[in-house]
Amino acid sequence: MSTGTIDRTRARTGARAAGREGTGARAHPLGQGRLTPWLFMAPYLLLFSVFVLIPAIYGLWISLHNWDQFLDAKPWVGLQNYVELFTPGSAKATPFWQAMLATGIFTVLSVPLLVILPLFVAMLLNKRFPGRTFFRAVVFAPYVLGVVVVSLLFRFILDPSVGVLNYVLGQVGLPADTPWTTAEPWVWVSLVGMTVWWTIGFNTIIYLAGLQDINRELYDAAAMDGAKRWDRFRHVTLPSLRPVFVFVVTVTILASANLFGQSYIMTQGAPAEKTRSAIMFIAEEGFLDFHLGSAAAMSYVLALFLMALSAGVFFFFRDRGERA
Amino acid sequence: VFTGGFMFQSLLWQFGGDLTNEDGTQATWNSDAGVQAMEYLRGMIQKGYSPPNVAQDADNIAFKNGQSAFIWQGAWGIGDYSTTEGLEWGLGPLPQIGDQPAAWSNSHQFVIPRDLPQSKLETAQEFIDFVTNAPSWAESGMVPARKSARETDAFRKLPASALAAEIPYVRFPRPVAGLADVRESTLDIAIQQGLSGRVPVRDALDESARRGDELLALNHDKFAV
Repeated sequence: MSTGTIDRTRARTGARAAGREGTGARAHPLGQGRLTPWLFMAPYLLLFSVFVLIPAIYGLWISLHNWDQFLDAKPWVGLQNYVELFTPGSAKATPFWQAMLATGIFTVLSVPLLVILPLFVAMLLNKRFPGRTFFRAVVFAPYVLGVVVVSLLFRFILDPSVGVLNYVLGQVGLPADTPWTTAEPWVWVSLVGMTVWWTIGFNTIIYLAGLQDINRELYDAAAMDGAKRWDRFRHVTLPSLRPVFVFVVTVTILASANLFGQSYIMTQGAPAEKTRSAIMFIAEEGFLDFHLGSAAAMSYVLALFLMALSAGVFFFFRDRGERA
Repeated sequence: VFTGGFMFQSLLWQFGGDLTNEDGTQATWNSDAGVQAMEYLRGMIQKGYSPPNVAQDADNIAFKNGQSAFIWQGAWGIGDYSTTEGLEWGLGPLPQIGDQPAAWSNSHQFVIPRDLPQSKLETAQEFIDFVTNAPSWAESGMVPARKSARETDAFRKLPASALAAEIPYVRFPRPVAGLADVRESTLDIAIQQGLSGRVPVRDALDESARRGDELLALNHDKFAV
């Protein structure tokens, strides 16, 4: 740990102490009670409780039962639903971990592309050139489409037997029987490619905002010091974008891990169950087969994975204090 | 819905097999009949009659585009094909491929709660009587369960009447609570694995039946009153 960090920590602690003294001296200057902050937060807290906190706790309760919403009897089974998931070869564990694997493969393939490609697109769109606004709109356009629209569209384009892509490939003399939606590894190419096309605009806009936020003087100073284009990118752009990276990487990982619509509509899990994602399997288990108890247990296992992953991302991008 | 599962079931019955044992506690689709059924379907691809890696419903689109001569489809196709412009088509019973005639079937059901008051019970009975006699039900492709409704001239003029010939040998999955769910999450996946050639037919069926047994047992506990 460098001295810079210690100094900063001390400064922060000092400021906090000063703040506390300050409040003590001028207690409730405008007649504010202890309730005030809570009242300010109330609208959010209400929505958060009703739609996140209470369902989350209720879900935990459900996961400890054999729960079918259409049956009166919802017997308590304790941790049985969780035990099943960790019993190798059981009827629940095999498809669940297969689905987790599918989600993992998709995340590993799509996140790097969705973190790196939009950065370069954003840098291009950050330059001055005629028609810039038009191209910014074009890049963002697919993102406004719903997942159903995009997936159905691509299902018709990519269908191995009656799709447009294979037809066009055949017309120009290329192989016309590539199983884009029905066999590995092609399904992954299709799912990742479609998702990148669809969502690249979102991360691009975030990067663009981040790039516009970088102080021009840093580039000028770097240029004065003789920094080449790559040096400016490496030593000015990338470090300045760090908070943006944390956001983009975290959000992209979570979005990819929530893979559902694309594989539900375009590949329908095919081939066999290879592209059936975790969310898709949980939805089938809970709302097709009405095993809400084990579906809830699966959701919690997935949630724990994602929490650990997000914590890892924050740890990876943490302020190491080396720039102090 | 994976329609290939219905083809497999028809063949399973034609080769003398069944989905489950009599009380629905055990999956029996991995019998020799099941293997024969799947080998037949796989043979269609291996011999080049069907392209490999066909996606769900691509067969339907190909048929409607005039790209294939016939399609093995459920009664729900009738409305679709009738309204497809320029498609000339006819309807016939499923040919016998295995040792005996059989065809997958399913039905719509009416449920009357046990504790219904007498007045409502009579109304419900009257309604069911009306629907099962009404020709409009059959117009959407369904074959009436009532013999008297099948013997009307109105029904004989409908395309669905061609399927009435199958009535003596149509087969239904056994009335086991949750069987369809179990089948969809085990057998239907095994059929896709077997047809793709990536998993040996017998292995795919055995593994799915093992998982099916487990799920059937869970359902048995769940629905046991």
